[in-house]
Amino acid sequence: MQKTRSLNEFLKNKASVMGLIIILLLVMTAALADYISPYDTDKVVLKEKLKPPSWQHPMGTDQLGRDVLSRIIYGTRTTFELSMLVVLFTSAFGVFIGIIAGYYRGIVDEILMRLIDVLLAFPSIILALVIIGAIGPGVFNTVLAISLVGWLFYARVARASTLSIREKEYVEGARAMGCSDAYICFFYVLPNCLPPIIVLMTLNLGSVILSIASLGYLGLGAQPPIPEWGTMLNDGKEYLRDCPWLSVFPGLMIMISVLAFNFIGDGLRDAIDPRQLVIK
Amino acid sequence: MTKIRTTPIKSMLLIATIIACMLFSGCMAALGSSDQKLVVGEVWTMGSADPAMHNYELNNFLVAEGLTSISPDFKIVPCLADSWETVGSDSWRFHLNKNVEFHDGSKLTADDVVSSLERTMKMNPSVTGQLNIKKISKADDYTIDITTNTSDASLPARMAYGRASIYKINENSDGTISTPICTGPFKFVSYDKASDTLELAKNEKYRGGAPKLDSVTIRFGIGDANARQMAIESGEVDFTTEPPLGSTKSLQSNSNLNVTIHPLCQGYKLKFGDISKAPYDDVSVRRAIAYSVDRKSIADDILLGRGKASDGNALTPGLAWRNNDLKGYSYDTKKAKDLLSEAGWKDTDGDGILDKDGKPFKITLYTWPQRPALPSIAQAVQSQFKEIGIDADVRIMEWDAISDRADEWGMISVAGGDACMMIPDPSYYLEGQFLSSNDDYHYKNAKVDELILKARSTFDEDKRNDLYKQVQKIVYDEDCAQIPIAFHYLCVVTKKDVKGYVPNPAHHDYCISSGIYRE
Repeated sequence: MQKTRSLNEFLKNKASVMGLIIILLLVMTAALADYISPYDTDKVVLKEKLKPPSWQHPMGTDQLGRDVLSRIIYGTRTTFELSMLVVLFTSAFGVFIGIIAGYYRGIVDEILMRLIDVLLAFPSIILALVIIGAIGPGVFNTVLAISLVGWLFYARVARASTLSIREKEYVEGARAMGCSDAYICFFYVLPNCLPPIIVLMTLNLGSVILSIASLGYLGLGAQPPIPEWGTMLNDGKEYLRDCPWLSVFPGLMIMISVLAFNFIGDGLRDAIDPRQLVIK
Repeated sequence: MTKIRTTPIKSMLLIATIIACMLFSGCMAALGSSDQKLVVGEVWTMGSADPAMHNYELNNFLVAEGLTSISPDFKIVPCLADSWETVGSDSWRFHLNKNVEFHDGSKLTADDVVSSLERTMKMNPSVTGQLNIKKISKADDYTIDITTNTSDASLPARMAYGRASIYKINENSDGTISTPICTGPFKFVSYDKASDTLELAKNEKYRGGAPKLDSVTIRFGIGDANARQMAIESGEVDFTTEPPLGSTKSLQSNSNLNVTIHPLCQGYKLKFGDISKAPYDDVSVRRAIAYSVDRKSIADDILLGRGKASDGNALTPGLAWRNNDLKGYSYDTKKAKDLLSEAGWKDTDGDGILDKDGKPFKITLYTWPQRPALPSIAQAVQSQFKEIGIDADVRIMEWDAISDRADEWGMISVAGGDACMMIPDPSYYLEGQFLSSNDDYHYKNAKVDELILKARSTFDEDKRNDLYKQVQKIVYDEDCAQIPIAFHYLCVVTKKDVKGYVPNPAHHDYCISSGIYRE
C-alpha cells in the first residue's frame, strides 16, 4: 500500500521520471560500451588529430586523433563505476558509524560526532586534494580520497534516524526477547533508517560525479589514457578556443548526468518523505 | 544611524561623474597605446626583487648584466668585462669596461663585482654549485681575479649566466635588497609582490644607447596558457609567449597580432629513471625504446610547428660543440622488436605484452603538466610502446614528486623544457646529465667521465669541442643514455605594432631585446 503510493508519487513527478530515463540510458551505455563504441578509445592516430565533428567522428577527434564519442562512451563507464563505488563505500561506512553512534549514545556518540564535526569543517574537495596529494593520483586513489571525506553526511543521517528508531516499541520488544545489539541494529534499525539514506545516495551520486570530474580536471583523478570526463575536459582545455568539441561534449555529459541524479533524488525525497507517510 | 538620502539631482550628478570618468580613462587609454610602453605577460613567477635570488629574471628583462654575455649565435661576448685571460691553470683575470655606470649614476668598479658575486653565492647555494668559483678577488679598481675549484675552461661562459649578474649592494636593514641597482638598458622602478608585477623604465644613459621603449611592465605568473591567450587578445598585455598549442592558427589569423616561432635551446626527451637497474641496464632495451619512438609524427602532429624532430642529439643545432654526425635512431618498430627479443624479452603468454623470467614489461611514464605538450607526448609514446609490446602507464604529477620516484622499476620521465644552454657552455648539460658523480640517472661510463674531465681543463676551444663531440657520440649513439625526441620552439605573440624584437635562443626561455619599439 505504502509502496504503491510512493511509486505513484514518484511517477507523477515529470522531472524525476526524465532523470530516471536518462540514468537508465547512461547505465546501458556504460554496460554496452564494448558493443556501441565505434573506435578503440586509446588508439592514437596522430594524422587524424583535432578533426571537427563529422559523420565519421560524430564528436570529432582529440589532440591524439582518438575518437571523442568512443571516449565519452567509455568515460560513462569509468564515471559510473567510480561514483557507484564511492557511494557504496561511503554509505556503508557512514551508516555503520551512524548507527553505532545513535544506538549507543553517550560517550561513543559524543566522540564520533565531534570527530565528524571536525571533518565537516574542512571543505570536502580540498580535503580530497590533500589526500590525493599525499597518496598520488590514480583511479583507486580518487575513490579512496572522495570516500574518506564523503561518509560524514551518511553518518549524521543514520544517527538521527537511529536515535528515534531505538526508542520504538518493536526495538524494545526485540531487546526484551534477548536479541543482541548487533542483531537489533542490523535487522531492526538498519532497514528502518534506509529510506532517507537511499535519497541521500541518489542525491550524492550527482555530487560524487562532480567531485570525480573535478579531480580529473585538476589532473589528479584518472590518469591518461583512461577515458574519464574530467580528464577529457582537462585535455581539451589547451584547445578550448579552437577545438571546443574536446571540452564541450564531456562537459555536457557531466552536466546531464548530475542533473539527472538530482532530479531523481528530488523525486525520491518527495515520494518517500516520512512526514507524508504519517499524515495518512 | 543616519539614513543617507539620495535626491534625483544628486544621483544624476553621480551618474554624470561616472560617465565623465569613464570617458576620461578611455581617452587616457587611447593616448597610452601610442606611448613607448610594453606590457609583458610572463609564464613563471618571480616572488621578490632581490637579485641574489632573481638575477635571472632581471637579466632576461635587461636590467642586470654579467661580466660576459651570450650572443644569439652562441658566442661569449664582452659585457661588463672588456676582455679576460687565464692566469695559471685554475685562475682567470677579467678586465672591466671602465665606462659602466650603475642606474644610480655611480661607476662600476671591481669592488662591486666582487661583493655582488660573493653575496649571490652566499645567499643562493644553487648558484655556487653552478659557478664553480673558489675565490674571487680584486686586483685593481678595474681588474678581477677569479680562482676556480678545478681548472675550468668554462668560467667566461659561466659569467654570462643570468644568475651571475652584477648589482650594487644596497641592502635593507634585514639584509635583503628590494630595489636592485644594476647596469642594464632598463632601470628597476618597482616590484609588487601581491600582483607579481615588475615595472622598469628606460635607462637614458645606457652606454650602448638608450632603448626605444620608455617603460616595460612585466606581469609574472600568468601560468595558464589560455589566460595568456586571452590577455593578448584583449590587449591586456602586448607581448607574451607560449599560448595554447592548438591556438597558433587562430592567433595568426588575428590581424591585431603578430605570431612568431623561434628555436630555443630546449628539448623534449625520454630519460630513464635509473639506468643502472633492470630493465634499462641493458643497452639493447634502451636502443629498442629509441627505435620505437616516432619523433617526426610527435613533432608534426603534437607540437604543431612549435618544434622539430630530433636527429638523435639533444643539443641544439648551431652550437659549435654539437656533434652533427650522430647516426641517431630512426623509427623502426621491427628493429626494436628484434632487439628486445635478443635481449630476452618475448611474449610467452600471448597477452601482447613482452615478458622475461615471468616479469611483464610494464613500465610507467612520468610527466608534468606545466609544459602543455608533455601529457600528449607521453600518451603518444605510450601508444608507440604498445606497438613493440611494452605496456606503459602514464602518470602526470608535479616535477618534484616525479624525481622522488626515479628508482621505481621501469620508470621513465618524459621531460620537456630541458635546457642545454642555461649556462652557455657544453659542460653545463653534458656534465649535469652524464658525469657519474652527478648521478641523478646513475649513468656511469669511465670513458665519458674521462673525456668530460679532460674537456673541463682544456683551454683550446677546438680541442675542447672535439672532446665534447666524442662524449655525445658515446652517450647518444653508443650508450643511448637518454632519448631525445624533439627540439622545443618558442612561440611569441605580440601586438602588431610591437617591432624590433630579436630572439636570443641562448636564453631560457627568452629575453626581451633593447631594440623593441611601438610603431
